[in-house]
Amino acid sequence: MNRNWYAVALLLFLSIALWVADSYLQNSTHQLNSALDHAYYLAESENYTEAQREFQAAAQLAERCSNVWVLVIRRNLIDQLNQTLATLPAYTSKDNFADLSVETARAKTQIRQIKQSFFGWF
Amino acid sequence: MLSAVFRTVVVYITVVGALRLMGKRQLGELQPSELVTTLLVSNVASICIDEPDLPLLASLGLIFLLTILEIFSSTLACLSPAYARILFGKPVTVIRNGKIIQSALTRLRITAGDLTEALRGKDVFSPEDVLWGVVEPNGHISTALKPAPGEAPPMLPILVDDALFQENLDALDVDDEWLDRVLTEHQMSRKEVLLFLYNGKEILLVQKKTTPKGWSGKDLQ
Repeated sequence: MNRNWYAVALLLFLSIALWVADSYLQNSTHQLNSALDHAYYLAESENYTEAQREFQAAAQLAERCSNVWVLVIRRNLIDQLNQTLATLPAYTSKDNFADLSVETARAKTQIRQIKQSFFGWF
Repeated sequence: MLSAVFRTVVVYITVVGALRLMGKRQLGELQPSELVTTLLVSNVASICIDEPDLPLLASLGLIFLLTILEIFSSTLACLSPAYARILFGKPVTVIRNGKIIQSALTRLRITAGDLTEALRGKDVFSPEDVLWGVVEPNGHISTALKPAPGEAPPMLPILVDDALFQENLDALDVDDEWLDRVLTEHQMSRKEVLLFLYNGKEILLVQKKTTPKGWSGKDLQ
């Protein structure tokens, strides 16, 4: 019967780990989405220097989060997002605004896919 | 490369821990549900090592989840004989008094060759020598040999954890009424019996646990 208590303890541990991972993923993806929205808004307002800094900060934030995401999310989804985010500062100029729009939309979709891979049932 | 080494070590420790937690049952003769658990655990573990793309915690979580399901399921099987019958199935008699029950072979989809091979593995070379042969839920064949002259016949199960072995009652020329009469003499109901064995002469009757720490048995008669 001792084993049942171990199983209960293990179940509790798994539930807590799942809950912590859930909260972390919700918070970090929300934070990243907000950072991208803000940076894109700055670029739309033609404040390119500030926008570039914001996009770089978003890429660094994603890099930091990746260390934890890699424990619960497929690695290729994380790599794809990091690759997209790495291109955004280079597109932050008046001449490349169309490309910036496309890449920002791609990054936001990749964030959504990361969330789906954890929260989706099927 | 380093990640593969790290993953292998972590998965090895996790699977060994999981099997230890599941207990000795998992290491001996496997029942169908235990076989499924073992296969799934080994599969998840090998995918986790092979696929560095997969998140480590997700794979370890699955191994632990399978362990938890196995522990709860086997505990439930101990507490509920009906659930145990669904989970493990029942032994099926294939030889009675030296005669092969062919309908049972068909039902189990085993050939006479399979049966004789299994018997030879137990050093029994003719079904004629077997008093009672059963195919256990784990697929193994158990045999009770006919007694030598002057020897006591082997004990056959009549009632095991709520499951009545009607064919053994018939084979020993007794019936339900006789069983209930014996149980009444021992002031027991069928539900209270853990084990009732009989060989036509002797009875072994073990009562289910009635106290939290021990068995209150009414043993040999």
